[in-house]
Amino acid sequence: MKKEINLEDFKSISVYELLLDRFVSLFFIVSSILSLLPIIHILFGTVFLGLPVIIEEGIAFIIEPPPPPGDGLGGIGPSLVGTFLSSIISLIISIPVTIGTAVFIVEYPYSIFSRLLRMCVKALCEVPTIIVSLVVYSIIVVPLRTFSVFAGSIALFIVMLPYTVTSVSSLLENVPFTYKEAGYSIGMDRFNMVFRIMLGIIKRGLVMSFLLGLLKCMGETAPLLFTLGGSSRFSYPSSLFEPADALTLLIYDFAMSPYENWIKIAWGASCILILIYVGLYVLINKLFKEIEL
Amino acid sequence: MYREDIRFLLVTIIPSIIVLFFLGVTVYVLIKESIDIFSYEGLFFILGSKWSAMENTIGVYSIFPQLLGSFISSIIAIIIALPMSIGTVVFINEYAPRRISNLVSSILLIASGFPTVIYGLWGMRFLTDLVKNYLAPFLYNHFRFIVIFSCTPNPGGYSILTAGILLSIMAVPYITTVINEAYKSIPHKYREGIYSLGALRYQAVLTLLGIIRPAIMGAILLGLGRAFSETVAVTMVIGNVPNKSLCILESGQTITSLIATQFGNSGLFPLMSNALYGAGLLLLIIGITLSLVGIYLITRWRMML
Repeated sequence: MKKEINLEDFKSISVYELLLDRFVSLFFIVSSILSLLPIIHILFGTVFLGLPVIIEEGIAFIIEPPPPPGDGLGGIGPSLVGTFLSSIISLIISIPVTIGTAVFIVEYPYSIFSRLLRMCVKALCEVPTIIVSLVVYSIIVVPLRTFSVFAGSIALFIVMLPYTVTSVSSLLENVPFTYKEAGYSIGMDRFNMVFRIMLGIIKRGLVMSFLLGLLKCMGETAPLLFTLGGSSRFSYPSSLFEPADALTLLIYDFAMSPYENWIKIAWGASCILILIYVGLYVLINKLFKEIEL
Repeated sequence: MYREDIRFLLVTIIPSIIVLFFLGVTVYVLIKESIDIFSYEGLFFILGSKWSAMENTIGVYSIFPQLLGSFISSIIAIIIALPMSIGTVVFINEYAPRRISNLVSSILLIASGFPTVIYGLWGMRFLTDLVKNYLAPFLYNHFRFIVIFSCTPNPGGYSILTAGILLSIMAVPYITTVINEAYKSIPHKYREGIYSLGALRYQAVLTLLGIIRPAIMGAILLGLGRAFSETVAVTMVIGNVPNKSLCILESGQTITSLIATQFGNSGLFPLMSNALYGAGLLLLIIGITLSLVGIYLITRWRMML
């Protein structure tokens, strides 16, 4: 039997539904503005409060050691050096370890050890950074009996490692198989094939991954809390096995101190950190536009 | 096996063992250092509510208030951040023109990697004022009958609520990224199907959000894990006094801020550093469980798609 088509079922959209549509749209737009507002405020607030301090001190701000509490302005020289030193050392350690691990994960994908490794990298990614600090304190700072740049670098290395391994192994996985075949067909062994051909193909992505890792290191605070020292921010570190300071530690300590001039220094230091961070980030994106991570 | 292949294996397996070694050492050190406190205090370490180095001769350490503080502040963070993140994801994908949506995503990407100490500094300067002058008095005056708003607000604005709000600001970029990835991976046929039925935009969006519900659950857990293990920013705004009640307008303490503030002088007292390592072990277990369950939910949802 033929069913009658009732036109009433296709009635037009009600006013109520149209209003609801507008209302829900409004919610989405407002919520996205609300989520961006604090971020933009943080960016500009830091620059507005920090830049005057930097301008007031001029070039001395990035050379001089910080002032004594409550009296005058100085700079953040030693902390800046400590930040660069510790993050660059951790980067240097992490390059061979990252590449080796990532190659292992990609080249032996079905072995039990490689699966275990994948899981461990995932887990290491989620280890709270303050725990890394506790552990490095107990395995490096206690035996050496001093806070040191070395300990700080190891802590940063552990924090950075899972991120770089993940991104490098995903880069390696995306290398087309024909390149491998071509490598083997001209008589290369596995070592040469991976380290000459595959790493050559992902060269740009490799540089980008490590730069992002460096960026992450420079912004970390918690891993350095019990490893780098921090209190030695009034003089430049003279060796890798001596305590040093980092920008982030300086900001953390000075912001919680009651002294006006230290808080001002903290804002200046934050401004420098933000400028370095955003500058490097924009640079990376400009240089490596076509690579998706 | 050829000689060259052995060279290859050695070059790759040694770094891999280093990675495994660090994870193993982390677990080993935390267990070894905290075994004393667990054998001495037992379950009281988790369920008791007193942190005092001067009590008895060797001190009494228990971390229930800090555990509670961690949970409450991260839950506040997720409650605030989740609707904002979902709104942002929908805005990026459905409403904004391409240029604006690119701009928004790149701002969020930058913000997700921002040094956390800068969030903390900003929170101390601006957020505490906001809470002290507007939010806390308002909540206290109008909603005093609810137990979490029932105490007199902290005069400086340093409270669990402040920490929760700051954590939510930090969680939004992360949660947005996770949900956005899921939203983008919905097959196009669903969208076509919904619109072909004559759905309005909001109906289509709500249906699509329904499809990614497991991924949203995963994002919630991942965000909770992140918020739970965040250290520096929380320490700077929470006030660092063990909280006495469920009230969120008072100063409080989280496990991470306990470790960050107490570890420096823990060498002076016999059992204190063991207690802090114990707290770290709990933090590790809870944080990793939350995150890994979150990752599991998202991957399982991807498989089902």
